[in-house]
Amino acid sequence: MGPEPVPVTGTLIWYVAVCPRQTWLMGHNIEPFRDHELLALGRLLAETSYPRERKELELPGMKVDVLRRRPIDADEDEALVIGEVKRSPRAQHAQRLQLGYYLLRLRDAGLHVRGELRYPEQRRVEQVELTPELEAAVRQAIQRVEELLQLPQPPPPVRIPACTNCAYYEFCWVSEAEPTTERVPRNRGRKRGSSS
Amino acid sequence: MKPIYIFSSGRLARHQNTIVLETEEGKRFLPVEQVSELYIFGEVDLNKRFLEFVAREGILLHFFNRYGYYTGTFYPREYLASGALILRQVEHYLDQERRLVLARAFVHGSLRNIRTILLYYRRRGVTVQHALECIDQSLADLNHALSPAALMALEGQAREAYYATWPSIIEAEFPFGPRTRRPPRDETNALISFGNSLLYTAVLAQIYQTHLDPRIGYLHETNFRRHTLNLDVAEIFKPVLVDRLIFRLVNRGQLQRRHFVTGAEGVFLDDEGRKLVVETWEQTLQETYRHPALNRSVSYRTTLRLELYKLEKHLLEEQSYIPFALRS
Repeated sequence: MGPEPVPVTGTLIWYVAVCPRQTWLMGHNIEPFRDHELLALGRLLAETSYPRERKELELPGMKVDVLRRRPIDADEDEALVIGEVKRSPRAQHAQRLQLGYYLLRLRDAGLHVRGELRYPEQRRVEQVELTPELEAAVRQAIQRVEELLQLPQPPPPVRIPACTNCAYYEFCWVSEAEPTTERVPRNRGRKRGSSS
Repeated sequence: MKPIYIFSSGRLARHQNTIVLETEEGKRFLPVEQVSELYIFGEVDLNKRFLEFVAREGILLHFFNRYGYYTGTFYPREYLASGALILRQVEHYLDQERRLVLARAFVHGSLRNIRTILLYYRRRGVTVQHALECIDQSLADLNHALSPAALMALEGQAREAYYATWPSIIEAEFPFGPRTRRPPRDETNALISFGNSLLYTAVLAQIYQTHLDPRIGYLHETNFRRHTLNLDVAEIFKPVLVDRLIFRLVNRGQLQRRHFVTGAEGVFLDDEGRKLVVETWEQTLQETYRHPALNRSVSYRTTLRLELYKLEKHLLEEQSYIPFALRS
């Protein structure tokens, strides 16, 4: 696999601040288990929140929720508000990076937009502004994603708190003990008369 | 998300955004979000609109003819595909050395699980000495087998010796001659064939949930017209899931000779017998145990998927593949 242009996406920017391994897998289209409950919840939440004002805007590597409600204090040239719907503000710094990435891309496209992180379940809204600090952090994240995806293998799994609810959990942590001849009998719980 | 098994005859159709099964008893709605696969044993009519719908929803259809023979699977285009992983999968197939490593692992896993089962029955007083010796011989010879065909032959020999112990393991008067496939010539053969096809389809359904291509197998000859990877992975689980299911059903007296029909086409399960096997099979797949590495409770159906994850990690060259081992 030669050096091709690395497809950076907003999702990867979000991931890279949480877990490099997940970034590598996702960047190679090895998606997590689709039936994972929290994933399904997230999909559902994005699809069902703000049905009246939400529109999707798609550019290569980004799918943004456009919230058309112009804030009262909007500047003259502020065209729109983009939002990112999340289940909870956990790892908010990563979410800010993701939204910052969209703001940066849209600014490069000549659009003056404002960003909001939306948490429908908590009924919270967080404003995100593309400050010089955030911009620098986003650029750094982009570079990290690009470097990561060049690696021939995924970085090895590292236990972090996010593992518990991650859809990659089983993929990352499954392993089999080396073959031995005899093993200790396992303690079987409430199973009835299994044949071995 | 779970499979639905359809025994009745009628019509399968799309009704707005859900699946409806219309039979003489009336309409039965199957909520599309909760269905992973449909097992179709009955005489069912369906149309293209229905096929397009289940394809979009990523639902597999497994077809069986009226004798319970597996006809084939409607496998909608992968909705998960990773170019990077498919390339690795092919690399490992084309490279003779790497292909042998995987083919050997599948046979090794299969033989070790057979061995575990034989040891269990030895503790219960069944004479298994000869079979154990054959298995151990085959296990020892695995490293000298230099082709998938040679590996298959070793597995065949071991299984033959293992099958010879079945009449002592199975407590009921159940005929079991030599292994016969198309058609099965006796009750035990009919059960093995039917059980295996349930396992092949169960593994296939899990492959669908991963990024692997089911057409590229390592032990079974790959030709891009059939699914073979599921056959490879199934070898490991046949003793664990199918063989033990047969022993359990027969030794508990749940399954009896009256559940079989003998005809010119061979011996096969009647409707009642088939339902009984399928019901027990589904319970088996939903049965859970504590997974030592994950420290979580997982079902045997999930275990099939975990096996594929280990395979993916092997292909990504981050963790050598070690097949699932039944704990004694």
